[in-house]
Amino acid sequence: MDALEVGSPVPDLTLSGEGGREIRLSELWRRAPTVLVFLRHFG
Amino acid sequence: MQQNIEALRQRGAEVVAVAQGSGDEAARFCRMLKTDYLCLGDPEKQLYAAFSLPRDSWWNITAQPFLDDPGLAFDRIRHASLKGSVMRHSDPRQLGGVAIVDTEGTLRYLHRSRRTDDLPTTAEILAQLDALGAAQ
Repeated sequence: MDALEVGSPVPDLTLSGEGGREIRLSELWRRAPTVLVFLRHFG
Repeated sequence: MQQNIEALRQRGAEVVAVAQGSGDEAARFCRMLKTDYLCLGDPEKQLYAAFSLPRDSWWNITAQPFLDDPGLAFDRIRHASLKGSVMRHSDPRQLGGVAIVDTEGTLRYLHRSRRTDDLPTTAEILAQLDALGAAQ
């Protein structure tokens, strides 16, 4: 997989919500610009 | 960052935290961090891989903090043991980052952390959102 750079389309992956609910990224960004904060193991 | 979430929302942005592990683990982790934004799990670490977020060395996450600031390192270990117990499926060496995706699904900003304490300032993220708003 090529590294994403600014200007690239973000892959529409599915993430997991509480209770196992699946959420596609496009569900988020279609509503509003989305700031994704990637957490470390320790926050 | 939590104290600045409202400023980001005022720019019309949604903030979503992503953690390695299940959705339930991510939600518990975020409650521990006292966040009020959506937290999602990336159990297969696909999104971390897609964004090519680097991993740190064992030296940098274990020994180096004690050389830099022993008091702070001990304090972090106290908190980390609790947080680490929640995130059983995440990689301790994984570094974080911040990305902004516009409403078309295009990556508009990406900060890949190079060290554990390397994160963009809220002002930097706000400036990026302002630029994005001006462009749309």
